[in-house]
Amino acid sequence: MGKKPYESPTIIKIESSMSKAGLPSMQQKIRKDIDGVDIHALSDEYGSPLFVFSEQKMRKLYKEAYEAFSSRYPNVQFGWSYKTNYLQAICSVFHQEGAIAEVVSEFEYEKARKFGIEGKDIIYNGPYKPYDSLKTAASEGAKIHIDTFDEISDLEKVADELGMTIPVAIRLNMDIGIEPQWSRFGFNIESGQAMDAVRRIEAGGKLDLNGLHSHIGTFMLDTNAYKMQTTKMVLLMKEIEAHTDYIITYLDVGGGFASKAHLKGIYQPPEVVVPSIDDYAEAITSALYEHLEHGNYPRLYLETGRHLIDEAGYLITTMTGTKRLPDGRRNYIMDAGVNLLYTAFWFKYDLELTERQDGMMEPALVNGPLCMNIDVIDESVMLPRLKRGSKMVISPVGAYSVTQWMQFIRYRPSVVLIDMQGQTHLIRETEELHDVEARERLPEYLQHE
Amino acid sequence: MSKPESGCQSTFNMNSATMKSYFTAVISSYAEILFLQNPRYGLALLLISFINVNTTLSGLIAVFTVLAFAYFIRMEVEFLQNGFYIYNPLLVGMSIGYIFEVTAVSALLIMMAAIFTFLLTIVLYHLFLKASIPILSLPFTLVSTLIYLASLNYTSLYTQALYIKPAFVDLTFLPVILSMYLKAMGTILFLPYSGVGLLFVIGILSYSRIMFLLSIAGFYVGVFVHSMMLGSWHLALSNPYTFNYILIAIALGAIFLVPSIRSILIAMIGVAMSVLFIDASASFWAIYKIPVFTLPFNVIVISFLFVLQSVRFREFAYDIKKTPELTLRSYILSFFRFRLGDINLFLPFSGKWSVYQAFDGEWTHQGEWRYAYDFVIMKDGESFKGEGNHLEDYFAYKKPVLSPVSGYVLDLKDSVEDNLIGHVNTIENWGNYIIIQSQLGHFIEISHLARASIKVKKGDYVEAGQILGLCGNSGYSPQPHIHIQVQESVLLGSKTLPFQFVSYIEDDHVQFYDDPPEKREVESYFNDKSLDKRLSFTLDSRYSYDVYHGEKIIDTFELKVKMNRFSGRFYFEDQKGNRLHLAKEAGMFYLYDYEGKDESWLQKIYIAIPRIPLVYRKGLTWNDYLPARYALRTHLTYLLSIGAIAFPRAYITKGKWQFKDEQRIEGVLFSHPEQKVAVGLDQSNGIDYIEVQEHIIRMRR
Repeated sequence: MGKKPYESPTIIKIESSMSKAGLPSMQQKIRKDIDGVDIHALSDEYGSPLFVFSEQKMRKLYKEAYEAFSSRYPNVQFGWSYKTNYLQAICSVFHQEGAIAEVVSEFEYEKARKFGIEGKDIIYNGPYKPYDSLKTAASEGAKIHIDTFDEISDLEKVADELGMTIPVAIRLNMDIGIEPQWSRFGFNIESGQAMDAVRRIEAGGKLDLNGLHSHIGTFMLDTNAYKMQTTKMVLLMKEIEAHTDYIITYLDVGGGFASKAHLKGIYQPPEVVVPSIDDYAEAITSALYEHLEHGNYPRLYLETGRHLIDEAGYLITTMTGTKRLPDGRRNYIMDAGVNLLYTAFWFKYDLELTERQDGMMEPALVNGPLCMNIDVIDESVMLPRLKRGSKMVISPVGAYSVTQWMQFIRYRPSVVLIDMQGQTHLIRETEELHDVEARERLPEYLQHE
Repeated sequence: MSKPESGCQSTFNMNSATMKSYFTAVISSYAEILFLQNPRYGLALLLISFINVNTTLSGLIAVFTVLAFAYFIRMEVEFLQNGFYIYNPLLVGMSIGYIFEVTAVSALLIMMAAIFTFLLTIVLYHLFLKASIPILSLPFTLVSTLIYLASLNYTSLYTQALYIKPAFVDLTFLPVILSMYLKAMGTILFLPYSGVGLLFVIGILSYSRIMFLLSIAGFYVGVFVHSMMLGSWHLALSNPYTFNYILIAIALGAIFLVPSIRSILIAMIGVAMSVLFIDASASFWAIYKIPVFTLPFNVIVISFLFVLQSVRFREFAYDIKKTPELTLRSYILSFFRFRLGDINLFLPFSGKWSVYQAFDGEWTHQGEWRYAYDFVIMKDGESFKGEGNHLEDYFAYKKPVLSPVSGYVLDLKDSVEDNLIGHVNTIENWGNYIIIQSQLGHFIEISHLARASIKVKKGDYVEAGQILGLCGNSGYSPQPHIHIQVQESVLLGSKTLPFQFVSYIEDDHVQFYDDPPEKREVESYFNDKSLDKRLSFTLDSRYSYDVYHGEKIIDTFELKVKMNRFSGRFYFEDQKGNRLHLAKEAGMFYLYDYEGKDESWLQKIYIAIPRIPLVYRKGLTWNDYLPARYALRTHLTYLLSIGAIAFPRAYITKGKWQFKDEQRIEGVLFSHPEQKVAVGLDQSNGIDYIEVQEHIIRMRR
């Protein structure tokens, strides 16, 4: 047994277990496996860092969400929000479960189409939809959600070109008593702008308004906001049907349901503050029952993204180096950072070790591999002294990370799916130099001999 | 069609349309005496009946008297729709003309008799209507008897009594056994000549093979039974009232009952019974020198129908079509497509629930309360999560309970505490409940709702699918569940009645009109607004279609949405007058009752998509049934319809349809060989295209 390398001593403030601030976690969080597959085996086979998705968890979350709504309202359809995670394998699981596609750009639209999703099963949202893509979407029967008056004009032109009446929906924004109010998307209800848009569509006579859409925000912790949103949408639907010949056949209440992730600045743990999917369902469907005329049910669309995937995603990362900072904090350099975890700016992740470490817990700063000051995974977390090469599992990271990740400084890593039987499947390979440079063109005069 | 204007009858300006409908009514009434619903046959019969000018003339006097009288009392033209009103006076007129020559005096007699018959017909019609029993020619029998009795005193009328018999109308060369059948047939219209009978038989044969076969069976069964009693074939054959056998056989075997083995047996029993009736009444009536007319036929058929109606005889023809073949076809199709049950409910919840107890369930659905359903939500074989010790652990707890029908809330209770798990309330065993009376008058009871969860009030009108309250565990309920039953009265706990669920989804398949067995997981649905809108066909809207064979347009046609102003039924009509009825109810859009030529494009639409559930799920399937001959494109129609009496299944072709996506439906008809069909729904309204057999029918824009 060799001599231990010298470490300067650290002074740590011991929190009382009954302190006003609650119980700081002095327990080591250990995760040895994901769905029964050993973490080390995963990183040995697929490398580190490594994104891992659990199909079991995804399907469970989807079924729970679908049942929460369908057992309360008889006409429900989920649309898988592509931007949340558009890896083909991930989309496939949700499409298999019955979700249609919700896209916000021509790129995502093409992706869904290539994937075999018919235009009719695509909800096309977004503040900017290029003219050509509007034309394609209209001719393929997609559910186009209009965001601006300019888009109405564009679509009327498309209608003339295609010689058809285009079924459309309008996107709405409204005051539902929360801050910030997402007022930059769609037409405002309170100011009368939404009704103006309806009149404008009616005057054009080339579009058939049949749906209303609104998306009030993201990571919404207040279910009452949904109740107000739904109520306002139903009331607008009634107004439209009373004053025009349009029949609103669907209401799309968007998404924004929170996952069990810890938003920075919210003190209590997600288990306490995040409403259950049943709470969201109850809020929305009770508003529907309260205000709908009966007989015919408009279809209720939901574009839940985060809630269905966030908790199914993990990032396995390796500790590559450590030092002590001048303020006494331990500093760990991981092989994954904000290049892969764009959402690290808002969320405090769960950091789990793969095996129990000896020694006492100390405050640590967990950094990524970028040579940038902002590359912080966690500013302050209690960790035991880690050995170089030890693994850490970061979660939940299923939402937005593999769509917002950057090829910056480092290659983007592999992504693995663990199926229902516990088998692993590589669903995206680690990038290589070629992937990064494939689209580059080097002018001849700059090429060296 | 022009609407009847209220002023029309108050003035004496008869327009040509009214004249035409009077004329049609008159000739139709001739046809209806032989159960033929076709004015052309009536015209032929009228012309044939001129063989005996006197009878015909007095018949017509009676009819015109009645029409004038109806006009005089400002009766609405609609009454002409009902053949009974005219054919009874017609028969009375003919029966008078049969023995009295038409003179000024006898004409007066005819007119009085006709008006009296008319009055009696209306009186009897309204009395019989309560029991839904036809009056047949009962008024004729009664009034003719009256006239014959009265005329015994009118000696002046007898002086020119007519018994002229045109020689050529009797086919003397035929064997008696055949000529008597023909003669009986002729007698129905007071023309007891085998030659005339032969014409009638030819008419009936061309109109309906089933009626023809029944007329023969009825006649010879009657004669056979009678000859056994009398001991003489000849006497039995030559009895003047044998036409009653024919009428009874056709009426019971094919008109008022749906043709079937059972109906035919009943008809033959009726024929056999009529023998006794004819002999008895003839002996009695003979004293006063009056004929029995159609009295045996009337009494026997009416008695049978009264009893069969009260026992809800399954083959009772509630919907009598133009021919027995059509009645049979419609019955078989309705049986397979709509199951003929009269109490239909929607499932009282949203989403997937499991049947915990069905009819005759082993725990509580017993005795008077055997017709009830219990539903719970199950996941992985359990109705709860965790230990199941708390109400909140149960998936069904506090889930919305939706109204299974549209109707009025008559009674409810909302104050019973929900039991803790493991306890039941044996005092208020129905717990919190709601009793709703449906639009059709049935009483539906739902039990065990959560305390203080009911969202409707007594007297509220609720629509099917509207929220009533939340599922709970009140009353005799060991775990949260929904109990639903249909009962005889509004009183809580009254005797239950069988019912069926209109439409629900089971394993991505839509079931129509069925009772799911225990443990089965079923999913409810209510009309999707989008499909509802796309399949809304408003009155007078038009749809133009091009028919493609390959790339080439081979035909075009236009459909117009129309409404029958009597029945209120909607139908599509093409320019050739072919009709296809459509309906949207009970969670589905469906086509039915095609009337028109075979091989029309309208008929192809029917084949391609007889029914669409008003709910969309990708991959959802459903079954339906079509008349086999549409799918087979066969000309063996005659054989098929006769065969259908014994083998109904041979008469229909099953098909299976599936939603490929929100706009395209594909189907397979299980004919030999199988046929593929497809239907495209327009994004906004109507049917965009139909792919059927070798054609594509496409909407023109």
